Amino acid sequence: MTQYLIRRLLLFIPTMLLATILVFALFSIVPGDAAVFLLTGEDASGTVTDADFERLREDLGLNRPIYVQYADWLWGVVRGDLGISLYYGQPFGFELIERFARTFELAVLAIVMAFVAAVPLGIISAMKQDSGVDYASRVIALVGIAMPTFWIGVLVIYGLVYGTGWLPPLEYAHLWEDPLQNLKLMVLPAAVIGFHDMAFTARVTRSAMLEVMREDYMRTARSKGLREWVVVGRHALKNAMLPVITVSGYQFGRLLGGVIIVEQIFVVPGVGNFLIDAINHRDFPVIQGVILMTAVVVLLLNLIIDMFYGVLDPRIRYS
Amino acid sequence: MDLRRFWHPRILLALGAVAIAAAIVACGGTTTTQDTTGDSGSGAATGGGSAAPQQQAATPTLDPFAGVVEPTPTARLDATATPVPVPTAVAVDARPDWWQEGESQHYRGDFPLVATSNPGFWDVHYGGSMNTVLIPSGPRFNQILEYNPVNPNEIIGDLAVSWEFYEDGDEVGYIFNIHPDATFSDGMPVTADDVAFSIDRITLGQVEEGVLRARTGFLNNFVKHGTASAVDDKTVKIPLRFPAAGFLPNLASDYMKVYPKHVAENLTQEQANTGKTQAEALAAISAGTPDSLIGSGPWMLREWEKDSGYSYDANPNYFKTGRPFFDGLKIFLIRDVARRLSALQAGQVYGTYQPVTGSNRPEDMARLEEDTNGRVRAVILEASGVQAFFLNHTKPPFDDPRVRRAMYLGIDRENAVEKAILGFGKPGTFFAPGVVEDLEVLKAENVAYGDREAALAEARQLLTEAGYPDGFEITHNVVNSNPSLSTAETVAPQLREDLNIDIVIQPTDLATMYVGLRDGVANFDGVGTGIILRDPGDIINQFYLQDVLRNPHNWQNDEVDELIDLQNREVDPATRQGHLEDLAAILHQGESHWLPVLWYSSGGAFDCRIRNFHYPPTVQLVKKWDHVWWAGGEASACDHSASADRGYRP
Repeated sequence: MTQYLIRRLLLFIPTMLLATILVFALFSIVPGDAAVFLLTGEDASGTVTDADFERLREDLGLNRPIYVQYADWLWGVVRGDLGISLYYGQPFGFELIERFARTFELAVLAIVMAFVAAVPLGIISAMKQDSGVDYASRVIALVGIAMPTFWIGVLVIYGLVYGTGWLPPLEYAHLWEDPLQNLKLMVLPAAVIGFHDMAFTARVTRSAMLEVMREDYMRTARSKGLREWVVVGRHALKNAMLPVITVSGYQFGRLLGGVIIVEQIFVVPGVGNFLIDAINHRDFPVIQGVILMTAVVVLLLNLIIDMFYGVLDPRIRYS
Repeated sequence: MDLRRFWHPRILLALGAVAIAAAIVACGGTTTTQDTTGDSGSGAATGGGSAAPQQQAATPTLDPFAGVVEPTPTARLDATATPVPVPTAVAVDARPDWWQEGESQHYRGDFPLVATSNPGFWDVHYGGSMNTVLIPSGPRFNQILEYNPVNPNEIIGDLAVSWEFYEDGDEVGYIFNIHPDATFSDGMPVTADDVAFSIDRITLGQVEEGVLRARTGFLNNFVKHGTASAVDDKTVKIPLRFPAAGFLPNLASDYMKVYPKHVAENLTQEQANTGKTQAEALAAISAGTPDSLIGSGPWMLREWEKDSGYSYDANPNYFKTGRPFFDGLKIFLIRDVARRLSALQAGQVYGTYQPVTGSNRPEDMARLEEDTNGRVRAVILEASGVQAFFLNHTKPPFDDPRVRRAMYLGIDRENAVEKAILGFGKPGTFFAPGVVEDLEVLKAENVAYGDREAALAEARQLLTEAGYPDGFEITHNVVNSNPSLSTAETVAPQLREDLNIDIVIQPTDLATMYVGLRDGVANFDGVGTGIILRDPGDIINQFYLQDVLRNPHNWQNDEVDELIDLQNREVDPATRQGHLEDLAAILHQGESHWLPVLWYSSGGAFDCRIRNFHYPPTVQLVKKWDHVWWAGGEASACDHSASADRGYRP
């Protein structure tokens, strides 16, 4: 087990290196850099000369070969320094962690809401296969999968403003400072994101349950005279949970990097907003920092989920 | 009920047909009579088998926007083109007649507003953006002069109470007298030394490598670095390189801020770019180690958080009596358009901070006004920016001036205004509308603006002479946002139809577009540009000097250069106007690298109870928010009566 863990942790290093090299390489072939935005601004006016450009690119180190820039950045990371934002001229390590914490909270809320809704829906759907309830739950799941989250988000906002005149607050409050204000802001985006994930998880739960329900041990359980909820809860659900956990873990990782638009719509100052700002400004160190952190979190999540399999299914052994 | 029996293939097919028909009906598609009276499956789609009304067969359409009602542009607002401002000396302590009304309505607490961009740098001399630099940082400072916030045709004193032109032998320039009560927010008086220091700081780029002055550097055209000096504590002398009509309009720009010498001279550029709160800044100054800027302006930064917003406290010692008229401002950053409009509609915020920016589309603002029955008013400033094409005159096909003129003649500017920006703008002229060229005269005298048939005939003739009788194909490197993209999408099919010029639109982000423009990747580029001043010098500086970003391949014309120099040095406004008209006439030959298509409007929105905001000359001017107040009361008290009374009124 320990050896397995160490091996997995060591594999993190090449994976992260590959991710950062890929991003660096991709951005090196995209024209334009932070100097353009520093000089022209987002509204693109002002008198700017070519000499200004070259001076600024030199100041920012953008005229160095790309491998030198990467090596410089990597050496900083090894020393625990993610670097300085090219656009804002400030270190951003602490801010990145804080942003990640907010997005993490959003993702946790979304996953919990999705899980709480999806698992019962999937179970009922499987138990009442081909019934009206099943069809209804499958339609809901299809709608959730088919509609992009940003579209649902916009619909929710417009629905609220035209229907109730109420909107979630504009100001973010930390969970531990003002939990009520925090939840007022976070619940709706979490529900919007969670709706999509709920749909996917409900379908996976349904199909996993259907598969398990046909197993011999289920018939045995029923023939022993166990009550149906015991049969489902203790025998079916536990065995059906493996793919559901896998899917939820994957979705959680996806959420950390994929809530950009929803964060914008609901004004959540999370890592999604942070990333899009950096991409717009060609702020390479910040982009790399976000990618690196996302990679670490996703890898850790996958590891935790793999470990969790052993708890759910004692037959799984790690070596 | 056992629903499994419904899996029979025929039933599934019938259900599929029903679903498709339902989807078509739901999407607003039309069905033929035969469709609605066909088999039972189709009948179900039109109301469970009941007899559907017989409709006239309509032509099915694939256009998803068919039937969508386009927003009607609001009536033309208070955006009449302003002439080049003529400076008039107005003493700042004369107390404008409106200040008492503003003070009587003083708003207690934080007034909520919305903005779209994070602050970037906080040094206004250095930074290159209105949205990210001037808007968040500017209200902390004053200039020497300013555009009168309630009468933008005037330039009045900001820190200066009076000024005079002087001639001393060969030397010419201005002497400014500084307001005796003006103080910085740390209590230190604003002196002539501070003003001279600030002018030197602005012009530092002339003499020091690596100093950026993105929107202030053009003062170098008029002032030589190191020549401004204090005559006494409150009198400063600024010699000019030559007598110049453009000096005062440039000096009054909101970017020309006066910094406290005792703070700013100790700062590195990195420190000056840092946005510290007032409390932090004062603590560092008290400790003798200043690490960020403070100013003499109406507002002091209380706090800011990236992607959330920023807030100000009113400067209690602001030297302009009674101003500002709010205890504080709270600015929320909302990038998403839908969320921003919703916040305005729900009354979470009372307006767009520094109201008119390119981020707010005029049509959205007009619709918001309609949706709120006039409670939220559209603030629309006409001709705030110019959307243009850049032609690489060093490579085919635009290396031939006949092809450039053919493009100039071929573009249907009226059509572009109507379709690309839904009427919120004006046909593209080289200078801001009404400043140098008169659009009505152009329409009467210039076929490119008036007689389309004649213009196209000449354009076709020119293309034939240049060796392109069948037109040509070209890739268009254009910014992927409006109005740049919508302009490209409007002009491309028009030019294809009229001149057989096949334009392949290649949308990119701003950074990529500029690199393409500079490096000549596409040879045909499109981007909108905001103007800082309505003064023609702004256009000249941005597009017609050598080695500037927007003249990437250094288009040059001797006559143009001569006229640029002449108008630069001319003090008499009428004579200068003559030079500028001559210059415009040359540019209207259509052979330069820059081809304006349209002047677009910028939008914003205000609750109707916000008072005393007047449309500034450009979006980049009058940014201190120290003349506006909140009238309070019920929104229903606003005048919603006449349909002509649309849009914000002061």
